[in-house]
Amino acid sequence: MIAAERLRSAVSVDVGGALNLVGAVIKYLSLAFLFPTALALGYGEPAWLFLAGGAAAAAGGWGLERLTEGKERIGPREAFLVVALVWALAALVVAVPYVLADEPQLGPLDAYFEAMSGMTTTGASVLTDIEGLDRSLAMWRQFSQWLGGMGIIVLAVAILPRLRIGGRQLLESELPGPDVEKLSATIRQTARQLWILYIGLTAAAALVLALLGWTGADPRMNLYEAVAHAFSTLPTGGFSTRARSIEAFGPATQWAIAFFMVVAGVNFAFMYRALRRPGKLVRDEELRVYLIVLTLAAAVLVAALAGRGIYEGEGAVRHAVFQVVSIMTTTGFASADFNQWPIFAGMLLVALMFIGGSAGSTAGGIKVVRVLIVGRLLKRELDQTVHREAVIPVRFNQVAVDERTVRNVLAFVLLYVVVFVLGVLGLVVSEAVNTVRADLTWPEAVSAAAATLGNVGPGLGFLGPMGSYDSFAASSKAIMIALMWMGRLELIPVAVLLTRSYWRS
Amino acid sequence: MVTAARIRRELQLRPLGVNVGSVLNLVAAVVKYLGLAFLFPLAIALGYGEPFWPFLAAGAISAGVGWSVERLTQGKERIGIREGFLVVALTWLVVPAFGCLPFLFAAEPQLDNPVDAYFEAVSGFTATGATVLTDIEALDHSLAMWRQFTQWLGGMGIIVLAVAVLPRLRVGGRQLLESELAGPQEVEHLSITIRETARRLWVLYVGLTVLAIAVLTVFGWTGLDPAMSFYEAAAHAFSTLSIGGFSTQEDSMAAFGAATHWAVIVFIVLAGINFLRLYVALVQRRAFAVARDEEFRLYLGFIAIGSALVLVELLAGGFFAGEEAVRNAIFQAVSIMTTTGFVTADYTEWSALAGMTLLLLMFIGASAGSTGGSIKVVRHLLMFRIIRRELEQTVHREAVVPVRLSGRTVDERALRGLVTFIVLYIGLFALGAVGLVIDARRADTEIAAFEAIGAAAACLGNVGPAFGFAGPFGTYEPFSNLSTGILTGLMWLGRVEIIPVAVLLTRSYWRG
Repeated sequence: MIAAERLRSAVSVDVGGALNLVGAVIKYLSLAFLFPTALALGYGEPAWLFLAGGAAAAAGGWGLERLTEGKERIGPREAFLVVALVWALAALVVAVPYVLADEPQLGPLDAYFEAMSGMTTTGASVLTDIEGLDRSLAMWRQFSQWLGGMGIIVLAVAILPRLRIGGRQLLESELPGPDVEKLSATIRQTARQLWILYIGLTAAAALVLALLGWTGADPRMNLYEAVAHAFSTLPTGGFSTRARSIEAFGPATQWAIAFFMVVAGVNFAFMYRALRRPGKLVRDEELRVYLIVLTLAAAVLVAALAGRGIYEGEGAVRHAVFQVVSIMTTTGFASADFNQWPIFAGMLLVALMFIGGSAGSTAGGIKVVRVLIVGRLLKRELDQTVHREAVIPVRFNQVAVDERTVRNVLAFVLLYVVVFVLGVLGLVVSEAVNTVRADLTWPEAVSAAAATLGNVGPGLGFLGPMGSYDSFAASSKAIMIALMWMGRLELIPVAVLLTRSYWRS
Repeated sequence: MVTAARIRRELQLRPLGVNVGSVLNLVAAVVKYLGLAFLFPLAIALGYGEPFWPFLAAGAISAGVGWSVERLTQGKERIGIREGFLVVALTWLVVPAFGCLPFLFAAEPQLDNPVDAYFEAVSGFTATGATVLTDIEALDHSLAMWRQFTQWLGGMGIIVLAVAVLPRLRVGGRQLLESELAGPQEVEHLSITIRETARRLWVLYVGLTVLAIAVLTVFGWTGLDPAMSFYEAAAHAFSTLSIGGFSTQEDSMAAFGAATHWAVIVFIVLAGINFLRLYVALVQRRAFAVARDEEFRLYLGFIAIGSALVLVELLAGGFFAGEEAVRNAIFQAVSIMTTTGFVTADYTEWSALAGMTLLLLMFIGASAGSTGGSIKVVRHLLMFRIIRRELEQTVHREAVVPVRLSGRTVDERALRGLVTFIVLYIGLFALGAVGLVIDARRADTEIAAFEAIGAAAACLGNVGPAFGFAGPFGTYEPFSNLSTGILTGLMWLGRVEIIPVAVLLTRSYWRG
C-alpha cells in the first residue's frame, strides 16, 4: 500500500483522469453497435453479437468511469495517454462481435488484428474468405473504418460537453500531420466542422455509387455495396465486402471511388474553409504537391503498363490512376492485382506508401507536408553549407515555418524510419523463429511493415491486394497490430509514453 | 554551336561563384604527386621480376597530366569554402581514374573492361573492398600489392595527406580537411592548427601500419602462422589500418590462422577509433581522453552487442563451437561494423538472422575521424538524443533542452547538418537498392531483393562484401555495367560523405 502510494505521488501524470475520459469514450462507443444490430435484424442474421459487443463497451466504459470518478482534469500530458489508450481499447471492443460470431477465420488475435486494421483505417485483413461473412458482420468491418477515419476522439470533442476545455491537446494528438496551421475557431467548432464535412462527403459518395447502380452504369453496384464502400473510401480505409476488392465492380465505380479517395486525402479543415473561398485551394502548396505527385506517379505507371502491353487505352489509365491513388492516400483498395505487374510498379507503390496523404486528412503515411518540409530543409541545409552566415527560413505557403516545428517534423520522419526498420526486422526475426512463413521474402517483409505502419493495407507477395495476412505467425500479427496503432497515432503520443520525463514531474 | 555560344555568354553575364580554375589546379597537383605512389609497386615488380612498365606508364601519365593541368591553371590557387567541396568531390573521382591505369595496362583479363577496372580502383581508394575479380590469386604480386596500397592511400585520405605535406595548403586547408575527414566535424572543436591535425593523423596512421606489419611478420617468422609472409603482412596491414578489406587471397582472412585473426581484430578496432583522440591517448599518453569519450564507449558497446548477437546465432545454428565460434563472431562483427570487409568465414552460409545482423551493422560504421565509412557511431548517438529531446519537449513545451555530447552542448546547426546527412544517406541507399533491382530485371541478372539491399549498403557504407554472389568469397563481377556504375557512384558518395557532392547540385553553390 505504501509503495503504491509513493508511486502515485511520484508519477506526475493524472492516470485516473486519463482513464476516466477513456471510460467515457468507450461507453459512448457502444452506441455505434446499434447500426449493425439494426442491419442484422433486417437481414435476419444473428443480432446478439452486436448487442453483446455494445453491452461490453457500455459496461466496461461505465465501470472504468465509475472507478476513477472525480478525476476529470485533462492536461497536455494526460492527452497522450488518453489517445493511446482509447485506440487500443476501442479496437478491443470492436473485435467482440468477430470473436462471438461463429467465424472460424477469426480467432481472438485475428479478431483484434482485424479490428485494429479497421479502426486505424489500414485495410489489412486476415480473412481468407471475405464473402463468407454475414452481411451485418461485413458491414461492421466497413463501419469500424468509418468510425476510426475522422477519429473517435475528434468525435468525442465535438459531442462531449466536458471536453470543452483541454480538448485542443487531444485533437492535436489525434489529428494527423504537424500543426503547421493553427486550427481556427474553438476546438469544439473545428471538431464539428470536420465531422460535418466527413459525413457530407460520405453521403455524397454513397449516393453517387448507388446512382451508378440504379442507372445501370454498374449493374453490380447496389445500395448495400454503395454504403459499405463509401464507409471505407472516405476514411481511406480499404476494407471491401468483396474478395477481389474494387476489381469486382465496373469502370464507372472505379473512377468514382478514385475521385473520392483523392478528396479524402486532402486536409479536411482546409477543405471546409475552401468551401467558401475556393481560390484558396489553388494556392495551397501541400495540395499542389499532393496532386503533382499523384499525377507524376500515375503517368509513370501508365507508361509502364501500356508499354508492356499489360493494359491498353482507358484500362491502363484507370488501373494506374486507381492504384496510385489508392496506395498513396493509404486506402488500399485495388482495381487489379498489382502483384502481377512488373517489379518496378510494386516498388513505386511501396515508395508512395511512405508519402501518404495530406496532413489533417484521413490518410496515413508520413504526409505530404512533412515530405515537403524535409525536402526544403535539405535544400536549406545545403545552401547554408556554402553560405555559412546566411539565415534562411524554411517556407511553407509563403510563411516561414517555426524552427521548432521544423525540428519536430524531422524528428518525426527519423522516428518513422526507425520504427519502420524495427518493424521489418521484427517481422523477419519473428517469422524466422516461428518458421510459420520461413519463406517470407524481403519485399514481403518490407511492404508488410510499410503497409501497416502507413495504414495502407495490402503489400507485395502473399499479402497483396487479393491476398491475406492470415499466414503470418501470431507474434508477427502482434507486431503489425502495434505498427498500425502507432501509425494511426503518428508515433509521438506512443513514443512520449516511453520517455522517463513524461512520467516524472 | 548555338548552345555553346549561349553557355559562354551566360557565363560571362553571370560569373560563377566558384573558382573552377583553382580547383582544377589543386586537383592536378594531387594527381601529379600521385605519380610518386606508383614507384612502390614498380619496385615490387622489379623485385619479383614482373612487368614494371604498367606502373611506370601510369606514373608518367599521372605526373604528366597533373603537371600540365597545373600549368594551364597557373596563378589560381585560392581555395575557399566553396572550392573545397569541388576539390574533394573531384579528387575522389579523378584519382581512381589514374589509379586504375595499371590494371588496364597490365592487360589483366579480369579487368579488361574499363568499367570494372575503375570500379576496382574506386573500391580501393575509398577503402571499400568490393571486388570484381574472380581469381585474385592470379594477379601478379605487384598488381595485387597496388590494390592493397590504393586502400592505404585512400584510407586516411589523399587530401589530408596533401594538407599535411603541401605548403600551399597552409591557408584554406581547414575546409578541405573538414570535407574529407569522416564524421561531423562541426562537433569537434579542433584546438590545433589544421596542418598539425593532418600531420598527427598521418603520423599515427603510418605508425600503426608499421606496427601491424611488424606484428604480422613476427607471427610468420615465429611459426605462429605459417601462412603469413612479409609480403602478406604488408599487404594486409595496408588494408587493415585503412579499414579497406582487400586481400591478396581468394579466401580473404580465412587463408590465415587464428593468431592472425586476433591480431587483425585488434588493429581494426584501433583503426575504427577517432584518430585525433587516439593520438592524444597513445602519443601524449592521456588515455582518459579516449576513455571518457561517449562515442568511443558506444563504439565498444556496439562491437560487444554485435559480436554477442552473431555469436548466439552461430552457436544456435551449430556452425562453430568454442574459441572458433567466438573468434568468427567477433571477427565478422568487427570487420563488417567498422566497414572493413575482411572475412574469416562465408557468412552467407550462416543463418538468415546472422546475415541480417551483419547487414544492420553495416549501417553503424566506425567512429568519426577514423578511416571507417558508413553513418558513424557519433551520428547514431546524436540522432537518438535528438529524437529523445523532441519527445521531452513535446511534454515540456517551454523547456529549452540542449543536446550534449561528452558533456558539451552540440551546436544546433551541426545537429541539423547531421540529420540532413542521415536523411540523404537513407535516401541514397534506398535509391541505390531500387536501381540495382530494376537494372537486374533489365539485364536479366538473378538478384534477390536482399542481395540488392546488401550490395547498396555495402558500397555506400564502404564495407565491401555483401550477400549472394557478391558475398564474402564472391565477386561483384556478375553485375551489369550500369549496376557497376551505380555501385561505383555509391562508393564515391559514401567516401566523401554525400554533402560535398549534394552541395554541387544546388543552384546557390554555383551562383556568385
